[in-house]
Amino acid sequence: MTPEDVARVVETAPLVHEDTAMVTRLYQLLFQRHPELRPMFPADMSVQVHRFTTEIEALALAMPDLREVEARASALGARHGQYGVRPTHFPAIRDALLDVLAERLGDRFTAEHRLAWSRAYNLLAEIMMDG
Amino acid sequence: MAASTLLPRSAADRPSWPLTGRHAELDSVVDSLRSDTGKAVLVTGAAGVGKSRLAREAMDRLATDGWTTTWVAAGPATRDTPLGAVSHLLPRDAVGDPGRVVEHVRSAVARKPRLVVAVDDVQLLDHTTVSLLGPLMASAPARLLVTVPEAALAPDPLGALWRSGGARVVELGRLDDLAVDTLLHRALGGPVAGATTLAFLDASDGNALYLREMVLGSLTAGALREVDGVWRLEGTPQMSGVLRSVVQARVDSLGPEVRAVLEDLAVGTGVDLADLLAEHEGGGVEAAERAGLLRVVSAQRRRRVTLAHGLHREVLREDMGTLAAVRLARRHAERLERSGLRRSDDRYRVALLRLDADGQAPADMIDAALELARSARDLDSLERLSRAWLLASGSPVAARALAEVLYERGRFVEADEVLGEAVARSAELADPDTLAALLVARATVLGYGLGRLDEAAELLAGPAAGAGASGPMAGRVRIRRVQLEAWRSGPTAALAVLDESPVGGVTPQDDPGAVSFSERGVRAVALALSGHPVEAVRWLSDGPVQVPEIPGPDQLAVVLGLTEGGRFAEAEAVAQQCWTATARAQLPLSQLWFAGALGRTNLLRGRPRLALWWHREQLGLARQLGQRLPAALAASGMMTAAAWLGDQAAMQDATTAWDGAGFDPLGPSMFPGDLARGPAWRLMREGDLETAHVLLAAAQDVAAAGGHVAQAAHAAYDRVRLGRPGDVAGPLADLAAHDDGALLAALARHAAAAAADDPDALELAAEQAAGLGMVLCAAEAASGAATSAARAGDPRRAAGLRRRSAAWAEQTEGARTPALLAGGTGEADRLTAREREIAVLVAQGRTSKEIAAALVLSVRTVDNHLQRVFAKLGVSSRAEVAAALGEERP
Repeated sequence: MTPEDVARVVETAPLVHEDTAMVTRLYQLLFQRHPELRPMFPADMSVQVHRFTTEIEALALAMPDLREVEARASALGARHGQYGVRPTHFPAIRDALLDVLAERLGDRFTAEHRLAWSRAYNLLAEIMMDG
Repeated sequence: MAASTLLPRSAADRPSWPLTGRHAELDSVVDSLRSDTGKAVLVTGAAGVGKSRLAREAMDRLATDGWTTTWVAAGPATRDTPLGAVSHLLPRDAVGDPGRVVEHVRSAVARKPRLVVAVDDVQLLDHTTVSLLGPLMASAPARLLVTVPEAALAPDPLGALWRSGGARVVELGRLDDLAVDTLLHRALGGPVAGATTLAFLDASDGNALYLREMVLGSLTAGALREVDGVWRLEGTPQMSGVLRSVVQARVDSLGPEVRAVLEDLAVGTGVDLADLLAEHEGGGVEAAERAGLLRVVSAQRRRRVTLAHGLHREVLREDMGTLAAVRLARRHAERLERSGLRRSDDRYRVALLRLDADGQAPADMIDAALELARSARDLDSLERLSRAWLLASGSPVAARALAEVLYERGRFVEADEVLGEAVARSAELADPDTLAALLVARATVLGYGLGRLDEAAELLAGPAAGAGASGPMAGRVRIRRVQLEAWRSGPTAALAVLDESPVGGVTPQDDPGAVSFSERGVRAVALALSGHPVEAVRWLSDGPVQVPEIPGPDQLAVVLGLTEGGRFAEAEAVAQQCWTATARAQLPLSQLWFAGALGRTNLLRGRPRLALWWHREQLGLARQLGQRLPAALAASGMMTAAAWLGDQAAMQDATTAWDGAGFDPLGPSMFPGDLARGPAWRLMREGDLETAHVLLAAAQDVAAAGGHVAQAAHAAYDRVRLGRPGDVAGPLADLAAHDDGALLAALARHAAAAAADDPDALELAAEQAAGLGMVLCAAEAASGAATSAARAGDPRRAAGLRRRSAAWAEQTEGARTPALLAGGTGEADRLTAREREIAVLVAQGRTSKEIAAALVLSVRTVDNHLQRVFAKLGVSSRAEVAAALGEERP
């Protein structure tokens, strides 16, 4: 990531946190596009939504410091492995995340923001898949 | 993981980089081998793409799952030795007796329920070992994982299994752009400048080995460095010793026929296919194509051939010796000359070839070649061509061409020398236009490059400059004079020079290659600085701003006008586009000014974190190019941001950068206010508020004296932030009255309202600032309004205002200024435990009577508590309590 990418991701992170409906919508979109992923999640998604919201914000805010990102994402990756998440699942979540950010943030989510988030997501995903 | 563990300084210590962009393939390999039907997997792909790495990772996973794993590395060294690759795995007495070996393998396989054997580079396996694959594959539970460039190269019986569809092939292609981005980030341990990632991406073409070795090579050469937390490459990626030997080995392994073809291509880039085939009749061209070493491109109805990889070119040229290179270059040049130079870039190619072969080239060819090199932004060729041209001809035009390249690359002293000599030579002989052009170029180098403004201005004010020159040339002299005046004495003097006489229609196109404003651009800058940002933007665009493919100073003028006019979102959009375009085109000098413009807008809006990022970017580029003023501006912006954030480490970085730039904050510059702000905020942080005020007041005076309306206002406004609105409200109102934009009006309104301690006016000022996107200013004004309201005996309104202030402050990325904190942190308004208890019950819809009963209190006590809750939360009804509780920070 370029330093500008990092700044853009950090800048958008609080918006994700503020918009509590965003992550609910993300999962809605994900399950719509990939119904096969639904059984991997609990029936009641409220805890999951809360976890994702907190985690994505923390990871986004950690972007300036790779060591912190590595620590968080590795731990997260290890848990995901146990739940049966495979490398092929990551692009599906990435696309849903980027589309939801665009949908909820409107003009504030520019093409540059999209690129910055896809680079950030790729970084996280690669670290998680190592873990 | 610490960055240093991934950055070995010696070739001996090279831990592997994180596996990147290959996890899906890894999964697929492991799954196949685990499955009942997965007898064998072939990992295919070009050299360096990461086949062996993938195979090793797969083996590690299977070993973790309890499989027995055996690794066999085939290679040129063991190829001709029977069982050479596996001798270490066999009992000593069995080697030499094929029967016993086969028996050994069979029984070893039978003992292991889950065995996987990996063979790296299976196409290089000796015949005897290949014969062992049979019994291995006959055993049901045993698995085979091999790497091979192409599946068709796999030896039988493996090849046969593949052809019958019984083996799975996992093909590895190049790493995609995202993977390269992630890999660089993780390997280097931090963010990487955009232009640096692009350079590695282009040079490696997504080949993991090449990428890694070029990163290591560039680190070793000192070309890739971390500056202010960002990794940045100077020049082009360098090859490491390992990569050089890898490429060397590849080139050496080719037959003489193929090698001759490649050498030909290494010298004459883009050789006509027909010519190449005529030159090499022995089949070398076809063989080279089959080996993937060359690329045929169709251009202008011809087919041209180039080397597939630039690395090969570099190694071949180093290897072939000077005489051979000269001979080949001459042959290519002659062939092109015989063909009549029909195509548009033939002259370019001939000029470069002649320079290679003979050290000189015909003048007309160099001229044409320079033109092309310029439009292609090929700085290396530009420098070579113009230097050769200057040596051969001594021409002033050549001197200017060379100086332009040197300037663009930040080599100002050299550029000044070249131009100084040329001026001396041409003073008597050259025509007025030529001389004027030389003087403009030298004034640019002296003034902007070396910071010697007076000398630069003197050069252009002298009688020689522009005397007798044609209209456009006289215009260019004048534009440069205006710029230097704006810098030296301020926008008023600049506009005076501009108004002396009309410049004439000079456009940037009259000045190709030079980094220069148009007449309108330079006027727009002076207008934006002198309190006419709206008019400034009108001079350059009468609708939505269009960004050209290669943005330059005129776009910077637009950004400045939009910013000073308070149109931040537009300013940022344009600056962002320009920054990206100049980064891609590798124009660091322009790029650094757009980065600085983005730092400025973010600071004016009150977003110190983003401002810090952009100013760091600006600083990195400024240091790289030896540009002192932008380095000082960046450092000043960083100091301001760091002070707002209370970020000690960033303040330390910024201070070091500021000291390094060695700039007088009150000396001549285009931005006297911006330069003083950072040092003033640093003083405030160090507790010396008094000196901070003195410095800002002095900067305000210096700026105002030169007609710097906007800069004077920015310096003055910081004094509002530092708690003394009374000292600057009058001057700010004057400055705003001389300004046609919305920004200064908003700043003046805040200052006046704060000085008057008027809550209504402050609240209005906050709303106006928020409307422009200046969130910090809005938060500060609202905080001030809260204090005024409290003083005026209206605690309820004060609490409400404090909440509004907090909401704006949340968008300031954690900025804290005295003006923001003056409104109080809400400590006094914090609910007591009892009040909170009651508030929560009210929020749940309970009546006072119910609450009194629940808490064993009188109804009157509950109501008393409730009144205090209303006041503290700034609400007037029970219905509002729930919402206010949600907003209140614990």
